[in-house]
Amino acid sequence: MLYLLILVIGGIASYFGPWWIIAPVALSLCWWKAKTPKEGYLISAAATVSLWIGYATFLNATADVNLIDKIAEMFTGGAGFLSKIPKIGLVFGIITIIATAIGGFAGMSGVQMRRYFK
Amino acid sequence: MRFIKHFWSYLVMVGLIFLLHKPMGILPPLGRLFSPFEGFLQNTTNKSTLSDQTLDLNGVKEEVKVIYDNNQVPHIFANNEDDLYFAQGYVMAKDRIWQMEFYTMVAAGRLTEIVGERALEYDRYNRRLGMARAAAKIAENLKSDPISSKILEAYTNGVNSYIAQIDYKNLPVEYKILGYSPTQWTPYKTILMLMNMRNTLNGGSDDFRISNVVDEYGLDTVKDLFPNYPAEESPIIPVGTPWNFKPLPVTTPSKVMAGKNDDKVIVKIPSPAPEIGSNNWAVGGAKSATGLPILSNDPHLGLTLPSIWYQMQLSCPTVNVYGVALPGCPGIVIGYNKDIAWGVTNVGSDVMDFYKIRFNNAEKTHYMYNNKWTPTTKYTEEFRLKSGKIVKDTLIYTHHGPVVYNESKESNFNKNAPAGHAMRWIALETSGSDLMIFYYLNRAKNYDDYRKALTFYTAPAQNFIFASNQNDIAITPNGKLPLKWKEQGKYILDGSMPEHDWQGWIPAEQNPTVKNPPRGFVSSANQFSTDPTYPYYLGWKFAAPNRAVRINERLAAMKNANADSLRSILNDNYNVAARRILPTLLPILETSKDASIAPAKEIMKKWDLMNNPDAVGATIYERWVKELENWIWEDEFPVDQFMLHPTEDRTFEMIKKQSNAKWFDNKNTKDKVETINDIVLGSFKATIDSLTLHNGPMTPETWAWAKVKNTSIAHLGKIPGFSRTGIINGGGRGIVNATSETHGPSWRMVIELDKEWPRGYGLYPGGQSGNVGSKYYDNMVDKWAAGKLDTLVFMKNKDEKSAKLTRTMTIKPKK
Repeated sequence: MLYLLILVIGGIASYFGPWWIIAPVALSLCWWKAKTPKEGYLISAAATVSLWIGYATFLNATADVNLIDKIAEMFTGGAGFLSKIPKIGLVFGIITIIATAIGGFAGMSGVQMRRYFK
Repeated sequence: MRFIKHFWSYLVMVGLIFLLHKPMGILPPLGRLFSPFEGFLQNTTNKSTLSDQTLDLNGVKEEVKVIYDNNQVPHIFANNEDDLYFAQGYVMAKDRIWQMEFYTMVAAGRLTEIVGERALEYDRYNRRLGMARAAAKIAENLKSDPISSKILEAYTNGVNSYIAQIDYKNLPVEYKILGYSPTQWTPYKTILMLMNMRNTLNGGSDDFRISNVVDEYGLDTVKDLFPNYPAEESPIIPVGTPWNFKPLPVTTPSKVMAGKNDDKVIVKIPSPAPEIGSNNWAVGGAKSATGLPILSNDPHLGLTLPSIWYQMQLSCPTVNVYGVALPGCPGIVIGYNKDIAWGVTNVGSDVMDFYKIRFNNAEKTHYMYNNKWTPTTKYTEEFRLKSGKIVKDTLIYTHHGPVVYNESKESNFNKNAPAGHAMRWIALETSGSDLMIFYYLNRAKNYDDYRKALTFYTAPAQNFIFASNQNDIAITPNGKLPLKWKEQGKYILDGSMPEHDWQGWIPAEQNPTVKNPPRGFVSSANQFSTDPTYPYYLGWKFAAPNRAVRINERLAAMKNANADSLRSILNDNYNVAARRILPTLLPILETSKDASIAPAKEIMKKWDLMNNPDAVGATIYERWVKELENWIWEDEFPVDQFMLHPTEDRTFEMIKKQSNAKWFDNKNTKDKVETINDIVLGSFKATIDSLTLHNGPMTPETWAWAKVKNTSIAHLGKIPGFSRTGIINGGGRGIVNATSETHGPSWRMVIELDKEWPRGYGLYPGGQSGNVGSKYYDNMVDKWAAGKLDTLVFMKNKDEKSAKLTRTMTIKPKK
């Protein structure tokens, strides 16, 4: 339920708001619904990653040009070892790390802050 | 403690958002860039991106229709000129705003603001050239020019109308990567863009390098090795064309250069780039199948993505023109209308001269001029780095122009008085309005209109070629050309002597020109404008004659020409230089018994002199001739000590006619005197060794010319992944198809004039969209590499129907 709420409300907010809007959304929803900081972190991170990777996959699949490959080359141009990773893996990897960190810590802080004030 | 226990994750989250929202060092703002909701994935496009659209905008007076064809070329139909240029600014910004702004940042020396400290030296150099200050003055002057100011204002409003409505999601991805946003457009920025072209086309000089040669070897050697006219040439104005005017007198002073320097002067002014050049030609009706002229033009520039050109049609009741425009500039620069077609190539005359300046003290408050201490003008330049840090530089101006170089050591003038070099450069001329030539050419109906348009132009001087459906063809090396005594500015001049100032200007009507010459065609390929009978001095060095010789040979032989015959010349890969020199070099190769070079020798003997993509002979020749030139000259004229090598023409003459010249000896080998044979064979072996080292053993695949040349079109901001490499095509430097590793035909155009309606063909190595996520970013590249042309859609009016028209953007005045 919490997962779905973050996914849907976070998705709508992200469509109209700035890129970091998912953080206050996840924070508020976890304040309200999550039981433990760990649960807040995991569910929120999972929802944010699903949202970002899902939307990225959709945009990439409907695009005329594979922009992911071009952006990946921007990072692999200078470092040999990175060029061994498949380009889409590299870009989705970066998206996952960012979404996990932002979404996760936002969810976790929702529960922790609730406990501070109660 | 309790607070930390409950808030640490919150602080981590806020910290992460803060860090990932802005660029860090060379890293882009990762969070913002990788978020699919705002970042680069928002720059992807699909079918739905390109559909009909209606916009309500402040700034247009009446409805404007922008009809896009299937190559995403906008055809703008407006009811008045203000709306026309507004819409031009709007649609250009929509496709190219990042590129437009980037050019202005380069010319203004402001790249540090977007890329940081690594651009500081480049910025400092561009500021010292003084382009921004000149551009500001020109923009100010143009306010009193009614037509220029009107166009600039309308165009600027169009660009700003687009900027005002763009949100972060829709910003070009380069802004997202570098972490900044577009700022207001102004007429000054348009002039900065034109400054960029002046710098690209006129911003080189060999004055320091040749002066260093004079200091080392004396003037007699220089006169022998650096003559003022090549042994082989086919000038733009056909030999024998009469000069129907009385030339102005020019007096040559007894002293023609600044005093000798103690050491070689190392000044990092680039040489005029040999690859920056162009071809244009027009055949008259007598040579064409239709009985009316056909005109062709291909300007050669650094190949970039987004491309330097943007195709469009501009139409309103006073004008209907098709062609290519420069991103950031109103009007069409190269193109055609119902009655005429025109094109440009660079003249390349010597318009950047340096004066040795003697200052009175370390503060450089005064300099010696006409036996008097004359005050300098100082400006403080501020460079804002991306980090926010400010770096300052002082720019000193003399009446010649800016001092671009200050000697740090004690000078040879006087122990306490430092020396420097001031620059007189055509690009800093602030009179006139270059936009006006294009304004009038866009509307020209005949030869007289063409001649009138030419009078408005300052720089960079161009060979303006012209053809009309009244069966006139013409070419004019045009622009403000300084009046100089012979060889003035070939060497460093003396900044204290009034006789060394530019003497004025060649009267515009006395610029070389020819109309309907008896040979039935006009052409140019950056070679000498005229033969030495022209009464004025334009410069001692122009582009090598190879392309011109080939073009003129082919046009002279041409009958019943059509657009395709001219297209075939655009793609001509014949190597004129090889034809000239190989008959002398190959017999020398024959004397070698070295088995390791035998296979390559055989290839050279069988080569058909075509720089075709699969030609191994072209690979060996091109690399060898460069190596050979270094083997002959590098010992006496080392490039790293800022010495100039003699031209290819002079080198070839020496190889063919002065086989005992002392210059063949390598002075670095003390116990041996090398002969021409030693140099030719040694350089050939070195070439083969080097090619083997870099490409593996010789095979038709690995040593194919296209493979070794590896033509690449780099992204303007050098972002890896946004460039195209490994393009398979032939040509090369000095070939009519002038496609080298990084430079080449940046727009190819052929126009068949017609009494009813002209037929245009053309394309450029890029695409209309500046968005790397669009398939129209580089969709013309493969067709360009294959030497094909698109049939251009030049509409008679907005109601014309064509299967090639795909969508309409309607701009309405906002109520």
